[in-house]
Amino acid sequence: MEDLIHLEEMFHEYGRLDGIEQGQKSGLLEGKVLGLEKGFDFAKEMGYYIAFSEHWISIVEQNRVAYPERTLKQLNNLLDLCLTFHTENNLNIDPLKLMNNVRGKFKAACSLLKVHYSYSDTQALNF
Amino acid sequence: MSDIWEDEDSDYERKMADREWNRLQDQHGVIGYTEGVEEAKEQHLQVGFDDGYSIGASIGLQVGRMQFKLESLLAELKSKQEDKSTEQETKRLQELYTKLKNLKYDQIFTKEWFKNGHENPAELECIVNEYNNLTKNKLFNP
Amino acid sequence: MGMPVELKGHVDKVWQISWSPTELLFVSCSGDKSIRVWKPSKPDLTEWVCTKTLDSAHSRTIRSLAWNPDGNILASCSFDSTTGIWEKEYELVATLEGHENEVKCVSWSASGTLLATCSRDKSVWIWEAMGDGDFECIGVLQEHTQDVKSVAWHPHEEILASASYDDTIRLWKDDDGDWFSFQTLTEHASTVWAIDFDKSGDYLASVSDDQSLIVWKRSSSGYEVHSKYPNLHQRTIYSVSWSKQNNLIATCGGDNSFCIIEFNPDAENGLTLKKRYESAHGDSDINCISWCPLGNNSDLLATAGDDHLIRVWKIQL
Repeated sequence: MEDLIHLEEMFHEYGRLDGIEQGQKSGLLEGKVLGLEKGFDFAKEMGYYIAFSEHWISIVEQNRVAYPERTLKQLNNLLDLCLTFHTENNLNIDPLKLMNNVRGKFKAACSLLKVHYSYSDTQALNF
Repeated sequence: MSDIWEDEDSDYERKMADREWNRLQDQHGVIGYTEGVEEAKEQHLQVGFDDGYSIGASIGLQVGRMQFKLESLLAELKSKQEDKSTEQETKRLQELYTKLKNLKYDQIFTKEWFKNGHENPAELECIVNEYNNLTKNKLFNP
Repeated sequence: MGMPVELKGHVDKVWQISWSPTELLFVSCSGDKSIRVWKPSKPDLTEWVCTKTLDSAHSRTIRSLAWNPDGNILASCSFDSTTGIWEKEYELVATLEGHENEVKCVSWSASGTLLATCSRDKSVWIWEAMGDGDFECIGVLQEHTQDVKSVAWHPHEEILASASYDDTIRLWKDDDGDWFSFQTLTEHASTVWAIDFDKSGDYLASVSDDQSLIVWKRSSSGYEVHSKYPNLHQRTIYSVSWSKQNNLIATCGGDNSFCIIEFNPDAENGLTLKKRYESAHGDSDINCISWCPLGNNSDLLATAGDDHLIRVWKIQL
Protein backbone atom coordinates (compact mmCIF):
# COMPACT_ATOMS: atom_id res chain seq x y z
CA MET A 1 0.00 0.00 0.00
CA GLU A 2 2.83 2.38 0.88
CA ASP A 3 4.47 1.65 -2.43
CA LEU A 4 1.27 2.57 -4.21
CA ILE A 5 1.03 5.94 -2.54
CA HIS A 6 4.68 6.60 -3.27
CA LEU A 7 3.97 5.85 -6.91
CA GLU A 8 1.03 8.24 -7.02
CA GLU A 9 3.07 11.04 -5.51
CA MET A 10 5.89 10.36 -7.89
CA PHE A 11 3.70 10.63 -10.98
CA HIS A 12 2.07 13.74 -9.58
CA GLU A 13 5.44 15.37 -9.07
CA TYR A 14 6.76 14.46 -12.51
CA GLY A 15 3.61 15.86 -14.03
CA ARG A 16 3.92 19.02 -11.98
CA LEU A 17 7.48 19.65 -13.08
CA ASP A 18 6.50 19.25 -16.71
CA GLY A 19 3.61 21.56 -16.12
CA ILE A 20 5.75 24.19 -14.49
CA GLU A 21 8.03 24.28 -17.47
CA GLN A 22 5.10 24.65 -19.85
CA GLY A 23 3.32 27.17 -17.65
CA GLN A 24 6.38 29.34 -17.42
CA LYS A 25 6.67 29.50 -21.19
CA SER A 26 3.04 30.24 -21.82
CA GLY A 27 2.82 32.74 -18.95
CA LEU A 28 5.77 34.70 -20.24
CA LEU A 29 4.40 34.70 -23.76
CA GLU A 30 0.86 35.58 -22.85
CA GLY A 31 2.09 38.32 -20.55
CA LYS A 32 4.41 39.66 -23.18
CA VAL A 33 1.66 39.88 -25.79
CA LEU A 34 -0.60 41.73 -23.39
CA GLY A 35 2.21 44.01 -22.25
CA LEU A 36 3.20 44.86 -25.81
CA GLU A 37 -0.33 45.94 -26.59
CA LYS A 38 -0.85 48.02 -23.47
CA GLY A 39 2.59 49.58 -23.58
CA PHE A 40 2.33 50.41 -27.25
CA ASP A 41 -1.15 51.92 -27.10
CA PHE A 42 -0.43 54.00 -24.03
CA ALA A 43 2.97 55.24 -25.18
CA LYS A 44 1.77 56.04 -28.68
CA GLU A 45 -0.76 58.50 -27.32
CA MET A 46 1.73 59.87 -24.79
CA GLY A 47 4.37 60.34 -27.50
CA TYR A 48 1.91 62.40 -29.50
CA TYR A 49 1.26 64.76 -26.59
CA ILE A 50 4.96 65.00 -25.75
CA ALA A 51 5.78 66.02 -29.33
CA PHE A 52 2.87 68.49 -29.24
CA SER A 53 4.14 70.10 -26.01
CA GLU A 54 7.74 70.36 -27.16
CA HIS A 55 6.71 71.81 -30.51
CA TRP A 56 4.46 74.49 -29.05
CA ILE A 57 6.70 75.36 -26.12
CA SER A 58 9.43 76.35 -28.55
CA ILE A 59 7.01 78.39 -30.65
CA VAL A 60 5.46 80.20 -27.71
CA GLU A 61 8.84 80.91 -26.13
CA GLN A 62 9.86 82.76 -29.25
CA ASN A 63 6.70 84.83 -29.40
CA ARG A 64 5.19 85.11 -25.95
CA VAL A 65 3.05 88.16 -26.60
CA ALA A 66 1.05 86.37 -29.27
CA TYR A 67 -0.45 83.97 -26.74
CA PRO A 68 -2.30 84.29 -23.42
CA GLU A 69 0.07 84.67 -20.51
CA ARG A 70 -0.78 81.36 -18.94
CA THR A 71 -0.04 79.38 -22.13
CA LEU A 72 3.59 78.59 -21.47
CA LYS A 73 2.94 77.45 -17.92
CA GLN A 74 0.12 75.20 -19.05
CA LEU A 75 2.26 73.68 -21.80
CA ASN A 76 5.07 73.02 -19.35
CA ASN A 77 2.64 71.45 -16.89
CA LEU A 78 1.42 69.19 -19.68
CA LEU A 79 4.95 68.17 -20.65
CA ASP A 80 5.96 67.54 -17.03
CA LEU A 81 2.92 65.36 -16.55
CA CYS A 82 3.64 63.39 -19.73
CA LEU A 83 7.21 62.83 -18.61
CA THR A 84 6.06 61.07 -15.45
CA PHE A 85 5.29 58.26 -17.86
CA HIS A 86 8.15 55.82 -18.20
CA THR A 87 8.62 52.90 -20.48
CA GLU A 88 8.88 50.62 -17.46
CA ASN A 89 5.55 49.49 -16.22
CA ASN A 90 4.80 51.18 -12.92
CA LEU A 91 2.11 49.48 -10.85
CA ASN A 92 1.72 52.53 -8.63
CA ILE A 93 0.43 54.72 -11.41
CA ASP A 94 -3.17 54.45 -12.51
CA PRO A 95 -2.75 54.64 -16.29
CA LEU A 96 -6.29 55.71 -17.06
CA LYS A 97 -6.22 58.50 -14.50
CA LEU A 98 -2.89 59.76 -15.81
CA MET A 99 -4.06 59.66 -19.41
CA ASN A 100 -7.32 61.46 -18.61
CA ASN A 101 -5.35 64.15 -16.83
CA VAL A 102 -3.02 64.47 -19.82
CA ARG A 103 -5.89 64.55 -22.31
CA GLY A 104 -7.57 67.31 -20.33
CA LYS A 105 -4.43 69.44 -20.23
CA PHE A 106 -3.90 68.84 -23.93
CA LYS A 107 -7.39 70.08 -24.77
CA ALA A 108 -6.94 73.13 -22.56
CA ALA A 109 -3.64 73.91 -24.28
CA CYS A 110 -5.22 73.59 -27.73
CA SER A 111 -7.91 76.01 -26.61
CA LEU A 112 -5.38 78.60 -25.44
CA LEU A 113 -3.28 78.21 -28.59
CA LYS A 114 -6.43 78.32 -30.73
CA VAL A 115 -5.34 75.22 -32.65
CA HIS A 116 -7.10 71.98 -33.49
CA TYR A 117 -5.34 68.71 -32.99
CA SER A 118 -6.76 65.30 -32.37
CA TYR A 119 -4.91 62.16 -31.43
CA SER A 120 -7.77 59.96 -32.46
CA ASP A 121 -10.97 60.59 -34.36
CA THR A 122 -12.75 57.75 -32.69
CA GLN A 123 -13.58 57.29 -29.03
CA ALA A 124 -10.46 57.66 -26.92
CA LEU A 125 -8.78 54.46 -25.90
CA ASN A 126 -9.57 53.03 -22.54
CA PHE A 127 -7.06 51.23 -20.44
CA MET B 1 -0.24 -29.00 -15.98
CA SER B 2 0.36 -26.59 -13.13
CA ASP B 3 3.28 -24.98 -15.05
CA ILE B 4 0.96 -23.73 -17.78
CA TRP B 5 -1.30 -22.15 -15.26
CA GLU B 6 1.62 -20.56 -13.52
CA ASP B 7 2.83 -18.94 -16.79
CA GLU B 8 -0.59 -17.62 -17.59
CA ASP B 9 -0.92 -16.23 -14.13
CA SER B 10 2.38 -14.30 -14.25
CA ASP B 11 1.54 -13.01 -17.74
CA TYR B 12 -1.76 -11.76 -16.49
CA GLU B 13 -0.17 -10.15 -13.48
CA ARG B 14 2.34 -8.34 -15.63
CA LYS B 15 -0.40 -7.02 -17.88
CA MET B 16 -2.35 -5.89 -14.85
CA ALA B 17 0.73 -4.20 -13.45
CA ASP B 18 1.31 -2.37 -16.73
CA ARG B 19 -2.26 -1.24 -16.87
CA GLU B 20 -2.10 -0.08 -13.28
CA TRP B 21 1.12 1.81 -14.00
CA ASN B 22 -0.41 3.64 -16.95
CA ARG B 23 -3.52 4.43 -15.04
CA LEU B 24 -1.53 5.97 -12.19
CA GLN B 25 0.57 7.91 -14.62
CA ASP B 26 -2.45 9.26 -16.48
CA GLN B 27 -4.46 10.13 -13.44
CA HIS B 28 -1.88 11.62 -11.10
CA GLY B 29 0.48 12.82 -13.75
CA VAL B 30 -2.18 14.86 -15.48
CA ILE B 31 -3.43 16.37 -12.26
CA GLY B 32 0.10 17.33 -11.33
CA TYR B 33 0.72 18.76 -14.77
CA THR B 34 -2.36 20.97 -14.64
CA GLU B 35 -1.38 22.25 -11.20
CA GLY B 36 2.12 23.00 -12.39
CA VAL B 37 0.93 24.90 -15.43
CA GLU B 38 -1.47 27.07 -13.46
CA GLU B 39 1.06 27.86 -10.77
CA ALA B 40 3.88 28.76 -13.13
CA LYS B 41 1.74 30.64 -15.62
CA GLU B 42 0.36 33.03 -13.02
CA GLN B 43 3.80 33.70 -11.59
CA HIS B 44 5.23 34.54 -14.97
CA LEU B 45 2.40 36.61 -16.47
CA GLN B 46 3.56 39.75 -14.69
CA VAL B 47 7.18 39.23 -15.70
CA GLY B 48 6.12 38.67 -19.29
CA PHE B 49 3.84 41.70 -19.17
CA ASP B 50 6.53 44.03 -17.86
CA ASP B 51 8.92 42.78 -20.52
CA GLY B 52 6.40 43.31 -23.33
CA TYR B 53 5.30 46.63 -21.87
CA SER B 54 8.79 48.19 -22.05
CA ILE B 55 9.30 47.05 -25.60
CA GLY B 56 5.85 48.17 -26.71
CA ALA B 57 6.17 51.48 -24.92
CA SER B 58 9.53 52.52 -26.34
CA ILE B 59 8.28 51.86 -29.84
CA GLY B 60 4.88 53.41 -29.15
CA LEU B 61 6.52 56.66 -28.02
CA GLN B 62 8.38 56.89 -31.32
CA VAL B 63 5.27 56.24 -33.37
CA GLY B 64 3.21 58.79 -31.42
CA ARG B 65 5.83 61.48 -31.92
CA MET B 66 5.90 60.80 -35.65
CA GLN B 67 2.12 60.96 -35.81
CA PHE B 68 2.10 64.44 -34.25
CA LYS B 69 4.88 65.76 -36.45
CA LEU B 70 3.12 64.56 -39.60
CA GLU B 71 -0.17 66.08 -38.52
CA SER B 72 1.60 69.36 -37.87
CA LEU B 73 3.38 69.25 -41.19
CA LEU B 74 0.21 68.43 -43.12
CA ALA B 75 -1.61 71.33 -41.49
CA GLU B 76 1.22 73.61 -42.46
CA LEU B 77 1.25 72.41 -46.08
CA LYS B 78 -2.51 72.74 -46.41
CA SER B 79 -2.35 76.35 -45.31
CA LYS B 80 0.17 77.19 -47.98
CA GLN B 81 -0.40 77.39 -51.69
CA GLU B 82 -0.27 73.93 -53.15
CA ASP B 83 1.29 73.37 -56.52
CA LYS B 84 1.70 70.27 -58.65
CA SER B 85 5.16 69.52 -57.33
CA THR B 86 4.10 69.20 -53.72
CA GLU B 87 0.85 67.41 -54.47
CA GLN B 88 2.43 63.97 -54.71
CA GLU B 89 4.46 64.51 -51.59
CA THR B 90 1.47 65.75 -49.65
CA LYS B 91 -0.41 62.64 -50.69
CA ARG B 92 2.35 60.37 -49.40
CA LEU B 93 2.52 62.32 -46.15
CA GLN B 94 -1.24 61.98 -45.74
CA GLU B 95 -1.03 58.24 -46.33
CA LEU B 96 1.76 57.78 -43.83
CA TYR B 97 -0.07 59.94 -41.31
CA THR B 98 -3.29 57.96 -41.66
CA LYS B 99 -1.31 54.74 -41.34
CA LEU B 100 0.29 55.89 -38.10
CA LYS B 101 -2.96 57.15 -36.70
CA ASN B 102 -4.55 53.74 -37.18
CA LEU B 103 -1.50 51.66 -36.35
CA LYS B 104 -2.13 48.77 -33.97
CA TYR B 105 0.50 46.94 -31.96
CA ASP B 106 0.08 43.67 -33.81
CA GLN B 107 1.00 45.28 -37.10
CA ILE B 108 4.45 45.92 -35.67
CA PHE B 109 4.78 42.91 -33.41
CA THR B 110 3.76 40.33 -35.96
CA LYS B 111 3.87 36.55 -35.71
CA GLU B 112 7.16 36.68 -37.61
CA TRP B 113 8.63 39.05 -35.09
CA PHE B 114 7.74 36.66 -32.29
CA LYS B 115 9.14 33.71 -34.14
CA ASN B 116 12.39 35.38 -35.04
CA GLY B 117 12.80 37.26 -31.79
CA HIS B 118 13.97 40.32 -33.69
CA GLU B 119 15.02 43.38 -31.82
CA ASN B 120 13.83 45.81 -34.48
CA PRO B 121 10.46 45.04 -36.02
CA ALA B 122 10.63 45.16 -39.79
CA GLU B 123 7.45 47.13 -40.14
CA LEU B 124 8.78 49.83 -37.85
CA GLU B 125 11.93 50.20 -39.92
CA CYS B 126 9.80 50.68 -43.03
CA ILE B 127 7.76 53.35 -41.34
CA VAL B 128 10.77 55.19 -39.97
CA ASN B 129 12.47 55.15 -43.36
CA GLU B 130 9.40 56.52 -45.12
CA TYR B 131 9.04 59.15 -42.41
CA ASN B 132 12.66 60.25 -42.73
CA ASN B 133 12.43 60.44 -46.51
CA LEU B 134 9.32 62.58 -46.45
CA THR B 135 10.41 64.95 -43.72
CA LYS B 136 14.02 65.41 -44.73
CA ASN B 137 13.91 69.01 -45.77
CA LYS B 138 10.89 70.19 -43.93
CA LEU B 139 10.80 72.81 -41.27
CA PHE B 140 8.22 72.41 -38.58
CA ASN B 141 7.22 75.98 -38.05
CA PRO B 142 3.90 77.67 -38.62
CA MET C 1 -54.35 85.23 -6.78
CA GLY C 2 -53.96 84.35 -10.44
CA MET C 3 -50.97 82.15 -9.74
CA PRO C 4 -49.53 80.09 -11.23
CA VAL C 5 -49.03 82.18 -14.32
CA GLU C 6 -48.58 80.28 -17.52
CA LEU C 7 -46.00 81.61 -19.96
CA LYS C 8 -46.43 80.49 -23.54
CA GLY C 9 -43.93 81.16 -26.25
CA HIS C 10 -41.47 78.38 -26.72
CA VAL C 11 -42.40 75.80 -29.33
CA ASP C 12 -40.47 72.90 -27.90
CA LYS C 13 -39.65 71.60 -24.42
CA VAL C 14 -38.30 74.25 -22.09
CA TRP C 15 -35.08 73.06 -20.48
CA GLN C 16 -34.02 75.76 -18.10
CA ILE C 17 -34.67 79.10 -16.50
CA SER C 18 -32.25 81.57 -15.03
CA TRP C 19 -33.44 84.48 -12.89
CA SER C 20 -31.54 87.71 -13.12
CA PRO C 21 -29.69 88.39 -9.86
CA THR C 22 -30.33 92.11 -10.11
CA GLU C 23 -33.76 92.72 -11.59
CA LEU C 24 -37.10 91.02 -11.73
CA LEU C 25 -36.80 89.06 -14.93
CA PHE C 26 -35.67 85.66 -16.08
CA VAL C 27 -34.47 83.97 -19.24
CA SER C 28 -35.52 80.58 -20.54
CA CYS C 29 -34.04 78.21 -23.08
CA SER C 30 -35.57 75.47 -25.15
CA GLY C 31 -35.36 72.64 -27.65
CA ASP C 32 -36.62 75.23 -30.14
CA LYS C 33 -33.05 76.67 -30.13
CA SER C 34 -34.13 79.99 -28.69
CA ILE C 35 -33.67 82.03 -25.55
CA ARG C 36 -36.56 84.12 -24.30
CA VAL C 37 -36.50 87.01 -21.88
CA TRP C 38 -39.51 87.32 -19.58
CA LYS C 39 -40.66 90.29 -17.51
CA PRO C 40 -43.80 90.90 -15.48
CA SER C 41 -46.30 93.14 -17.21
CA LYS C 42 -48.46 93.63 -14.14
CA PRO C 43 -47.43 94.78 -10.67
CA ASP C 44 -49.14 91.80 -9.05
CA LEU C 45 -47.00 89.57 -11.25
CA THR C 46 -49.99 87.72 -12.63
CA GLU C 47 -48.96 88.48 -16.16
CA TRP C 48 -45.56 88.13 -17.80
CA VAL C 49 -44.46 88.90 -21.32
CA CYS C 50 -41.65 87.79 -23.50
CA THR C 51 -39.67 90.94 -24.23
CA LYS C 52 -37.05 89.36 -26.41
CA THR C 53 -36.36 86.17 -28.34
CA LEU C 54 -32.81 85.22 -29.27
CA ASP C 55 -32.82 82.51 -31.85
CA SER C 56 -29.88 82.69 -34.16
CA ALA C 57 -26.97 81.82 -31.95
CA HIS C 58 -27.22 78.07 -31.55
CA SER C 59 -27.91 75.42 -34.14
CA ARG C 60 -29.38 72.92 -31.70
CA THR C 61 -31.27 72.74 -28.42
CA ILE C 62 -30.17 75.28 -25.84
CA ARG C 63 -29.86 73.28 -22.65
CA SER C 64 -28.84 75.71 -19.94
CA LEU C 65 -28.46 79.41 -19.14
CA ALA C 66 -26.75 81.36 -16.41
CA TRP C 67 -26.52 85.01 -15.45
CA ASN C 68 -23.26 86.22 -13.99
CA PRO C 69 -23.45 87.60 -10.42
CA ASP C 70 -23.61 91.20 -11.72
CA GLY C 71 -26.51 90.37 -13.96
CA ASN C 72 -24.92 91.89 -17.04
CA ILE C 73 -23.55 88.84 -18.85
CA LEU C 74 -25.58 85.81 -19.86
CA ALA C 75 -24.10 82.45 -20.79
CA SER C 76 -26.02 79.89 -22.85
CA CYS C 77 -24.93 76.37 -23.61
CA SER C 78 -26.18 74.08 -26.31
CA PHE C 79 -26.32 70.61 -27.77
CA ASP C 80 -24.37 72.14 -30.65
CA SER C 81 -21.33 71.84 -28.32
CA THR C 82 -20.83 75.59 -27.91
CA THR C 83 -21.39 78.13 -25.15
CA GLY C 84 -22.68 81.57 -26.07
CA ILE C 85 -21.76 84.73 -24.19
CA TRP C 86 -24.25 87.62 -24.36
CA GLU C 87 -23.68 91.17 -23.17
CA LYS C 88 -25.26 94.58 -23.40
CA GLU C 89 -28.85 94.14 -24.45
CA TYR C 90 -28.43 90.55 -25.47
CA GLU C 91 -25.73 90.90 -28.03
CA LEU C 92 -23.76 87.73 -28.72
CA VAL C 93 -20.14 88.67 -28.07
CA ALA C 94 -18.44 85.28 -27.97
CA THR C 95 -18.89 81.61 -28.72
CA LEU C 96 -16.80 79.24 -26.63
CA GLU C 97 -15.79 76.04 -28.36
CA GLY C 98 -14.00 72.97 -27.17
CA HIS C 99 -16.50 70.40 -25.96
CA GLU C 100 -16.84 67.42 -28.25
CA ASN C 101 -20.58 67.16 -28.04
CA GLU C 102 -23.69 68.38 -26.15
CA VAL C 103 -22.97 70.93 -23.44
CA LYS C 104 -25.37 70.25 -20.58
CA CYS C 105 -24.87 73.03 -18.07
CA VAL C 106 -23.15 76.34 -17.50
CA SER C 107 -22.47 78.11 -14.21
CA TRP C 108 -20.69 81.26 -12.99
CA SER C 109 -18.48 81.41 -9.93
CA ALA C 110 -19.44 83.76 -7.10
CA SER C 111 -16.82 86.30 -8.13
CA GLY C 112 -18.04 86.28 -11.72
CA THR C 113 -14.52 85.65 -13.02
CA LEU C 114 -14.89 81.93 -13.68
CA LEU C 115 -17.32 80.01 -15.84
CA ALA C 116 -17.79 76.25 -15.78
CA THR C 117 -19.36 74.12 -18.50
CA CYS C 118 -19.97 70.38 -18.61
CA SER C 119 -20.85 67.97 -21.34
CA ARG C 120 -21.79 64.52 -22.55
CA ASP C 121 -18.12 64.23 -23.49
CA LYS C 122 -17.58 63.55 -19.74
CA SER C 123 -15.50 66.65 -19.18
CA VAL C 124 -15.86 69.84 -17.19
CA TRP C 125 -14.25 72.96 -18.64
CA ILE C 126 -13.28 75.97 -16.57
CA TRP C 127 -12.93 79.35 -18.27
CA GLU C 128 -11.68 82.65 -16.96
CA ALA C 129 -13.50 85.79 -18.06
CA MET C 130 -10.77 88.18 -19.21
CA GLY C 131 -13.16 90.99 -20.09
CA ASP C 132 -14.63 92.20 -23.39
CA GLY C 133 -16.05 88.82 -24.24
CA ASP C 134 -12.66 87.17 -23.99
CA PHE C 135 -12.50 83.84 -22.17
CA GLU C 136 -9.47 81.67 -21.57
CA CYS C 137 -9.69 77.98 -20.88
CA ILE C 138 -7.84 77.32 -17.66
CA GLY C 139 -8.68 73.68 -17.25
CA VAL C 140 -10.31 70.66 -18.84
CA LEU C 141 -11.25 68.15 -16.17
CA GLN C 142 -11.63 64.63 -17.41
CA GLU C 143 -12.38 62.52 -14.34
CA HIS C 144 -16.05 61.64 -14.60
CA THR C 145 -16.61 58.36 -16.39
CA GLN C 146 -19.90 59.37 -17.99
CA ASP C 147 -22.00 62.29 -19.21
CA VAL C 148 -21.77 65.28 -16.83
CA LYS C 149 -25.25 66.69 -16.25
CA SER C 150 -24.74 69.71 -14.06
CA VAL C 151 -22.19 72.06 -12.53
CA ALA C 152 -22.66 74.47 -9.63
CA TRP C 153 -20.24 76.79 -7.86
CA HIS C 154 -19.94 77.30 -4.13
CA PRO C 155 -21.62 80.63 -3.22
CA HIS C 156 -18.41 82.17 -1.84
CA GLU C 157 -15.32 80.11 -2.62
CA GLU C 158 -13.84 78.88 -5.84
CA ILE C 159 -15.07 75.35 -5.34
CA LEU C 160 -17.02 73.64 -8.07
CA ALA C 161 -19.43 70.71 -7.83
CA SER C 162 -20.32 68.52 -10.82
CA ALA C 163 -23.01 65.84 -11.13
CA SER C 164 -22.88 62.92 -13.53
CA TYR C 165 -24.51 59.95 -15.19
CA ASP C 166 -21.74 57.95 -13.46
CA ASP C 167 -23.79 58.32 -10.22
CA THR C 168 -21.23 60.54 -8.53
CA ILE C 169 -20.75 64.15 -7.56
CA ARG C 170 -17.23 65.51 -7.80
CA LEU C 171 -15.83 68.50 -6.03
CA TRP C 172 -13.07 70.54 -7.62
CA LYS C 173 -10.67 73.24 -6.58
CA ASP C 174 -7.40 74.58 -7.83
CA ASP C 175 -3.82 74.46 -6.68
CA ASP C 176 -1.93 77.32 -8.25
CA GLY C 177 -3.97 77.18 -11.42
CA ASP C 178 -4.04 73.40 -11.64
CA TRP C 179 -7.62 72.18 -11.14
CA PHE C 180 -8.23 68.81 -9.55
CA SER C 181 -10.96 66.77 -7.95
CA PHE C 182 -10.54 66.71 -4.19
CA GLN C 183 -13.55 64.57 -3.43
CA THR C 184 -15.97 62.14 -5.05
CA LEU C 185 -19.39 61.75 -3.42
CA THR C 186 -20.89 58.32 -4.05
CA GLU C 187 -24.13 57.93 -2.15
CA HIS C 188 -26.65 58.08 -5.01
CA ALA C 189 -27.65 54.80 -6.66
CA SER C 190 -28.10 56.29 -10.07
CA THR C 191 -27.47 59.34 -12.27
CA VAL C 192 -27.14 62.57 -10.32
CA TRP C 193 -29.03 65.18 -12.31
CA ALA C 194 -28.54 68.39 -10.38
CA ILE C 195 -26.88 70.01 -7.38
CA ASP C 196 -27.25 73.30 -5.57
CA PHE C 197 -25.51 74.83 -2.57
CA ASP C 198 -27.30 76.59 0.27
CA LYS C 199 -26.63 80.25 1.02
CA SER C 200 -23.60 79.51 3.21
CA GLY C 201 -22.06 76.88 0.99
CA ASP C 202 -21.76 74.57 3.98
CA TYR C 203 -24.53 72.39 2.62
CA LEU C 204 -25.04 70.87 -0.80
CA ALA C 205 -28.28 69.39 -2.12
CA SER C 206 -28.28 66.74 -4.83
CA VAL C 207 -31.06 65.01 -6.73
CA SER C 208 -30.98 61.85 -8.74
CA ASP C 209 -32.54 59.32 -11.03
CA ASP C 210 -32.77 57.21 -7.87
CA GLN C 211 -35.68 59.51 -6.90
CA SER C 212 -34.00 60.78 -3.77
CA LEU C 213 -32.78 64.11 -2.45
CA ILE C 214 -29.59 64.16 -0.39
CA VAL C 215 -28.20 67.04 1.61
CA TRP C 216 -24.46 66.93 2.27
CA LYS C 217 -22.69 68.79 5.01
CA ARG C 218 -19.24 70.27 4.78
CA SER C 219 -16.64 68.87 7.11
CA SER C 220 -12.89 69.27 7.45
CA SER C 221 -12.16 66.78 4.69
CA GLY C 222 -14.97 67.70 2.32
CA TYR C 223 -18.67 66.94 2.21
CA GLU C 224 -20.48 64.04 3.82
CA VAL C 225 -24.07 62.84 3.89
CA HIS C 226 -26.23 64.74 6.36
CA SER C 227 -29.82 63.89 5.40
CA LYS C 228 -31.51 61.72 2.82
CA TYR C 229 -35.05 61.75 1.47
CA PRO C 230 -35.61 58.58 -0.55
CA ASN C 231 -38.63 58.31 -2.86
CA LEU C 232 -39.23 62.03 -2.76
CA HIS C 233 -40.48 61.72 -6.32
CA GLN C 234 -42.00 58.78 -8.18
CA ARG C 235 -39.58 59.17 -11.05
CA THR C 236 -36.25 60.81 -11.83
CA ILE C 237 -35.68 64.14 -10.11
CA TYR C 238 -34.27 66.53 -12.71
CA SER C 239 -33.64 69.77 -10.90
CA VAL C 240 -33.06 71.26 -7.46
CA SER C 241 -33.06 74.85 -6.34
CA TRP C 242 -32.02 75.96 -2.85
CA SER C 243 -33.36 79.42 -2.19
CA LYS C 244 -30.67 81.75 -0.89
CA GLN C 245 -33.45 83.88 0.55
CA ASN C 246 -35.96 81.65 2.31
CA ASN C 247 -33.72 78.57 2.61
CA LEU C 248 -36.34 76.25 1.15
CA ILE C 249 -35.37 73.50 -1.26
CA ALA C 250 -37.45 72.97 -4.39
CA THR C 251 -37.23 69.83 -6.55
CA CYS C 252 -39.02 68.73 -9.71
CA GLY C 253 -39.01 65.69 -11.91
CA GLY C 254 -40.33 63.10 -14.29
CA ASP C 255 -43.37 62.42 -12.14
CA ASN C 256 -44.73 65.78 -13.28
CA SER C 257 -44.68 67.21 -9.79
CA PHE C 258 -42.56 69.56 -7.75
CA CYS C 259 -41.87 69.62 -4.02
CA ILE C 260 -40.98 72.20 -1.41
CA ILE C 261 -38.76 70.85 1.33
CA GLU C 262 -37.54 72.40 4.53
CA PHE C 263 -34.09 71.60 5.87
CA ASN C 264 -33.16 71.64 9.52
CA PRO C 265 -29.41 71.20 9.97
CA ASP C 266 -29.74 70.36 13.65
CA ALA C 267 -32.05 67.40 13.17
CA GLU C 268 -30.60 64.00 12.40
CA ASN C 269 -32.75 63.66 9.34
CA GLY C 270 -33.38 67.27 8.63
CA LEU C 271 -35.56 67.08 5.49
CA THR C 272 -39.29 67.72 5.79
CA LEU C 273 -41.64 67.78 2.83
CA LYS C 274 -43.77 70.90 3.17
CA LYS C 275 -45.83 70.74 0.02
CA ARG C 276 -46.16 68.73 -3.16
CA TYR C 277 -47.66 70.15 -6.35
CA GLU C 278 -48.89 67.34 -8.58
CA SER C 279 -49.39 67.63 -12.32
CA ALA C 280 -47.75 71.02 -12.21
CA HIS C 281 -47.25 70.82 -15.96
CA GLY C 282 -50.05 68.36 -16.66
CA ASP C 283 -48.65 65.07 -17.92
CA SER C 284 -45.29 66.56 -18.73
CA ASP C 285 -41.89 66.19 -17.14
CA ILE C 286 -40.70 69.25 -15.30
CA ASN C 287 -37.12 69.92 -16.36
CA CYS C 288 -36.14 72.85 -14.20
CA ILE C 289 -37.22 74.60 -11.03
CA SER C 290 -35.74 77.84 -9.84
CA TRP C 291 -36.32 80.24 -6.95
CA CYS C 292 -36.24 83.96 -7.58
CA PRO C 293 -33.05 85.27 -5.91
CA LEU C 294 -34.42 88.73 -5.12
CA GLY C 295 -35.20 89.58 -1.53
CA ASN C 296 -38.57 91.14 -2.32
CA ASN C 297 -39.72 88.20 -4.39
CA SER C 298 -38.37 85.26 -2.45
CA ASP C 299 -41.71 83.49 -2.71
CA LEU C 300 -41.54 83.33 -6.50
CA LEU C 301 -40.69 80.05 -8.11
CA ALA C 302 -40.47 79.24 -11.81
CA THR C 303 -40.82 75.82 -13.42
CA ALA C 304 -40.09 74.76 -16.99
CA GLY C 305 -41.71 71.76 -18.64
CA ASP C 306 -41.74 69.39 -21.56
CA ASP C 307 -45.13 70.93 -22.39
CA HIS C 308 -43.29 73.98 -23.82
CA LEU C 309 -44.56 76.07 -20.93
CA ILE C 310 -43.10 78.01 -18.07
CA ARG C 311 -45.07 78.54 -14.93
CA VAL C 312 -44.42 81.16 -12.29
CA TRP C 313 -45.68 80.26 -8.82
CA LYS C 314 -46.09 82.17 -5.59
CA ILE C 315 -45.28 79.76 -2.79
CA GLN C 316 -47.14 80.19 0.44
CA LEU C 317 -46.75 77.44 3.01
